[in-house]
Amino acid sequence: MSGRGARGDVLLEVRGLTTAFRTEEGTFNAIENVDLDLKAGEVLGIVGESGSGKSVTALSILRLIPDPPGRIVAGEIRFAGESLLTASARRMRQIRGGEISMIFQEPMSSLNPVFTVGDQIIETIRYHERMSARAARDRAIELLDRVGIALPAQRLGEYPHQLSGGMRQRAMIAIALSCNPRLLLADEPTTALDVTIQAQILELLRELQEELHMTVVLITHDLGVVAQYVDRVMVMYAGRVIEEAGVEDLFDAPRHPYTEGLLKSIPSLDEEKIRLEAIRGVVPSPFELPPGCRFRPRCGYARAECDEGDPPLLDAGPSRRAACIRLTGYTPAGEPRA
Amino acid sequence: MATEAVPATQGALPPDRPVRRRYWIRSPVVRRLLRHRMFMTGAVFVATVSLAAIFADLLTTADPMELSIRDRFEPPGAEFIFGTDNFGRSQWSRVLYGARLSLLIGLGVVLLNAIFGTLVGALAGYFRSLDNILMRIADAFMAFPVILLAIGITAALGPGSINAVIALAAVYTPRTARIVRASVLVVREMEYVQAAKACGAGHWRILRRHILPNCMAPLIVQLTFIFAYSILSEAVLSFLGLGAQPPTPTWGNIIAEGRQYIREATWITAIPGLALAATLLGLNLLGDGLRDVLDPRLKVQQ
Repeated sequence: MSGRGARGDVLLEVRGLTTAFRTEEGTFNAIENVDLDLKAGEVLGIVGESGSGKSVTALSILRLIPDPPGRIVAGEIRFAGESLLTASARRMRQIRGGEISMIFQEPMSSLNPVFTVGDQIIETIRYHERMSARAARDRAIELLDRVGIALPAQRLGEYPHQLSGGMRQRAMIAIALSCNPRLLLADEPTTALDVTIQAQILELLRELQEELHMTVVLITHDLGVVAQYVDRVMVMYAGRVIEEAGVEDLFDAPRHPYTEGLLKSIPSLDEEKIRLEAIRGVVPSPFELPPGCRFRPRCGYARAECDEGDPPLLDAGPSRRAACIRLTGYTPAGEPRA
Repeated sequence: MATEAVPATQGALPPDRPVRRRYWIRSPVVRRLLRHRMFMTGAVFVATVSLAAIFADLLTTADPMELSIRDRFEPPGAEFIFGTDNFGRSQWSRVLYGARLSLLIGLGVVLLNAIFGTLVGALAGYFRSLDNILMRIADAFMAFPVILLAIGITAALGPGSINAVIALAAVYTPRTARIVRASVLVVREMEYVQAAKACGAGHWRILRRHILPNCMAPLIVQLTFIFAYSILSEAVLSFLGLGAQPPTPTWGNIIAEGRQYIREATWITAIPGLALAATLLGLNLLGDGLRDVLDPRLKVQQ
């Protein structure tokens, strides 16, 4: 594991990433101007509703956006100093699975039904590393054991339908880790699992992260998951990053009204509440974005000034940023939208 | 989860055993097929005809081409099981050797079909930019009635069994390609394909390892029907004199030659006709059975 920068070095640097999708109704930006900095060994949570651009961000980093209809139209992605947007297709295949791995939401459908679990792990190992079939098999058993699958040698010969959901997600994690990636993108890894299994999988991910000094991006819509397992949080809304902060700062004092609304809608065990507060309204359609701030129609703090330009991400305290006009005392700071 | 359904892999596996093990007889698909009455009936029909074709040398004594004027128009009986034709040739020999050629031609068509149909279907389904052009070419082929197009192609290439195979393969390939394309379109959107891409797999690996193996079920079913259709179409071509040329026996040209004597010597046309009907029935039952068992829509989700 040489060349694996020290803890604290910047591993991933994303600047102005914009990914557009062409549809029959027109072209829209699924994510717009996303900046992301990830230090080695850090666990970043990306939070947002469905359609906020969390998954598109992760897929864009791996250049896995299906084209057509999608395309990365602007921005830069630097992974360990290497520009991923200009890397060759061949180099990208080496990076995928070798240096950056991804695990997906649906463990039920993320494994190929016609091959055994072992085949699929061994395939990935041997694709990235020159290794004999025997050695790869030993490695696969070791990995399955490591991700907490009992009787790994036996499970190796089983087909995905013979495993439970939790076991499949563990097998997926084993595949993702098979080549010691430096960065793991976990796209809602626990959403499809029941709650007890969720906790186990997240615990496993944290253990592995610490043990292998991995950097993890955990995409989720569950703020409870965020609170327990990540160091830093990025909140996305309608394709833009609207707040970014350390996890404690974020929970203590959210600076964006959307984050505030999200936090208020979590049931709390400490205080008795009859009704949870919901954020009123719905996420705007990408074709009918409001002028100015995208959250304005749903925002309790909105004023007339909010219509003047989409607010940029501004420093909102030590190592945190938010995109809200209130930070500047309702002075429109963002350049007006075209 | 489904632990009781998998007795085959229970018990600790010694670490030095090979990873891949096929307990085919215990596989649920094979067991369901063995219990499927239509499939088994079809299998018996097809197996009988195939065995007769394979062992035609051992099962017959008379040369299918040998003329014997003395024995013309012998009805089926003790000496000649299926009787003789207008040249005194043994019908038994001719029908069995005819079965050999008919099945070989059918097999050849199926093989070419499987190769080119899969290739074209996979390319069209996976590389969307090729889809339009490939499928429009396929549409052009499919716009003609099967037999008419096959006649046209054999007429252009010249009669003969090899050319009949080529013509029939060309006629049926677009149909197979469409079916493969449809499955590829579904499977390429599956999450495990995305996962394989995220693991660094390239196009070729994704197609070969992840997409095509999951498209096999409808293709296999389609190919059994293609097998039946191509045997029938080959008979039609031979009947019209465009397939294998006399005196080589195929079911089509035996029927064609016998049709002048259909009133006096019905057996000459009836027996190859029955053999053809039995084979087609068997293959169709086989295909139906496979479809019932392999079709995911009829299968209970595990």
